[in-house]
Amino acid sequence: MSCKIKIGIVVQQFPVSSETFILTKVLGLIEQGFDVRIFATYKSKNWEKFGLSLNQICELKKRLIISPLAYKNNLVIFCLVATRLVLWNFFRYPYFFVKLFYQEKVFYKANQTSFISYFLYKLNFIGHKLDILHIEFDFQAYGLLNLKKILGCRLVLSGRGDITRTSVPYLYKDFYPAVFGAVDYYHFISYYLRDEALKKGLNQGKPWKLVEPAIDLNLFNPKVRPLHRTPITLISVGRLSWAKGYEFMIDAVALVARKYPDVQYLVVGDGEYSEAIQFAAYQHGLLQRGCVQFLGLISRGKIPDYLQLADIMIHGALEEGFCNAVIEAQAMELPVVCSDAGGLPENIANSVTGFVVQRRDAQAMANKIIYLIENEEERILMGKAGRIRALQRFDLIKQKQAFTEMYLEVSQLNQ
Amino acid sequence: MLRNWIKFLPFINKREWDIIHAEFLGIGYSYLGIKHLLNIKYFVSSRGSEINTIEINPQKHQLVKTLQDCDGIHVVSEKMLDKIIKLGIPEDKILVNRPAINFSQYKNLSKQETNIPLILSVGRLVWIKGLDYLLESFRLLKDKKISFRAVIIGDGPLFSELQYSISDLQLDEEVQLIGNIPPHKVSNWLQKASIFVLSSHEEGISNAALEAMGAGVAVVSTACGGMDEVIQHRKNGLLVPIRNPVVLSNELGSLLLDPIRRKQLGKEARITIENKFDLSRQTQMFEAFYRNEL
Repeated sequence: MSCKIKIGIVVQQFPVSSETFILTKVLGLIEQGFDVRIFATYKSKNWEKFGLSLNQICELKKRLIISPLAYKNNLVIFCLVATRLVLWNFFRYPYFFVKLFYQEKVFYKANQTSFISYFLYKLNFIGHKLDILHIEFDFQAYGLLNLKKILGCRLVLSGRGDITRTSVPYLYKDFYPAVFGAVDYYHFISYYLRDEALKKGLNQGKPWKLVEPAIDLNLFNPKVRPLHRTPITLISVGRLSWAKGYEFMIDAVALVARKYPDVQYLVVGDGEYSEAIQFAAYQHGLLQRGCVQFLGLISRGKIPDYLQLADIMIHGALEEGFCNAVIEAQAMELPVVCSDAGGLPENIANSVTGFVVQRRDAQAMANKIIYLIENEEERILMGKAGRIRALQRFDLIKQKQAFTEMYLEVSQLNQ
Repeated sequence: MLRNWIKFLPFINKREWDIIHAEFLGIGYSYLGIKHLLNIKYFVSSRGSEINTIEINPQKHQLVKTLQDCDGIHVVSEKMLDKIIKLGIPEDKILVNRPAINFSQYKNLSKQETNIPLILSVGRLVWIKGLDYLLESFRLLKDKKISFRAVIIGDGPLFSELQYSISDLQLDEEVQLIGNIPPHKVSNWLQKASIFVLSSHEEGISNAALEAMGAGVAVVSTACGGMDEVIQHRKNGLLVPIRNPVVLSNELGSLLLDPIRRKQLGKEARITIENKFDLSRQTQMFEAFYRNEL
């Protein structure tokens, strides 16, 4: 039955290492028999690091539709691709083509955005006869809202992070009423994000479902960590961006290092904020002493090995949707000290699988780290509790079922 | 390669240059070839960002090469002089010439402080300015129920992030980001401001802080880069440790409650600028340096 439902997934780039949840979700949906199309603005070059089988890659590439904007750097190819797209759609789907053209003119007049790029981008969606259009990041939805009318499909949005963190809502006056008015079904990854959306004017009665992120637990098999291990190793995994609050984490580690000078801190990931973070480590003297090590990007398959090396995961985000890295840490029996940003208090169980501290408070985080360093028994117990929590709550198999249910529910909604 | 040649063309056409002075270290590296090409005196200025973070800069050896190859180096503070000497550059080709402002523009500004004291910060919205820590200290001030308003002038890549932080810390009423504004409007804000705050992690010497001092505003600054060569703690301003919102908010708090002390610091600051950081002194030093090298 479900095999008839055709779902279009909209993302910026595909696949991205910091957004593997999209990848796993898509693979799961294909497995369940949904007809999935992925609409991406850009395509990633390296697919090897995601640990996909050849079959999976073929399957994904077949379903991947790249926008002509991806070729913007090469004018010749861009023109060729764009012309082909325009001609093809004009003769094949003249009705949709004209409809889109008219709608785009209205949108352009209201917002003064680039007409050509929006028009070309949206042309891609024509002719796929989608039942459901799912925009994976709600802040990207504004420009695509008129597609719902043109295609006559249902619109699903995912709330994966606080919208206000991006500059988009500040750009358009009617952002929230327009987005919240057009959406048919909302998927949230944490209760926190729904509360925030309600505060911004989302209708209480709007159908929604909580589907928490999940991980493939088969990939995370913790081994027993040796007792009385010194020095203690802290670890953080994530994109080196402002939102992850690394500067405050470095401050916290510096406070810990005053008491335990040999503490080790591994930073896994790369990103636009890396200079700021490295400089913070340098100014605290941690970089020179080798206390902090920046490991850069590490392929997904090797992450469990690094988590196995560590004793405590720290995550001091300023803004966070949910954070898969924290789930992975729990699955690897690591206690987690994290901030109270976004969905993190729902991710770990405070005082059971780790500690939640106030965001931006380096001293509070340092205190909890020191507590865990000094209480080995509790550290190990919290780690074990984390594994149990991950097994019970963040299993990929359960998530796949939840998404199937969600899409079936969406397809039964009245238009 | 071709791009390099095109870049050099304007210099080759006119062979009457005596000195070419690259105003920043990064640009100094990209034009370094011209020194060998024309066999000309080549100077660079090191003003901040590149040298401040050189230890973590992947292009470190290129920057060091630029410093080694050029004929003269202008740095903006003693601190930076030490840093460059540590990189193995001989001291005799380095000129310390601190930044300066045109004091006559600020001499006649009269203070018109607002009823609720205003804290002003001016700078690009980038990580090195430490604005997250500043916002955190504002939050601590609010927790202590000290009334204030704050305005942050400037634009940059962290605009939306800082806007998010302001509402996340529930400072919407107190703190305003107003983006870039023209210089004469900055002067208007300086007139109204009770305190100017610089929360940077690292600096050369901040011109914005010098301008605030010239306008007679009490300055609270982190002890970053060369700022301690301008500000003597508790004499003509206040210095606080870097990356420490608690101390910063304590100093801001005590100053907010003490208008007389603010006035005193502002007055002293003005004297410092007039005596040591006026434009005329800077120009003379450059002139002497250039003549000496020729």
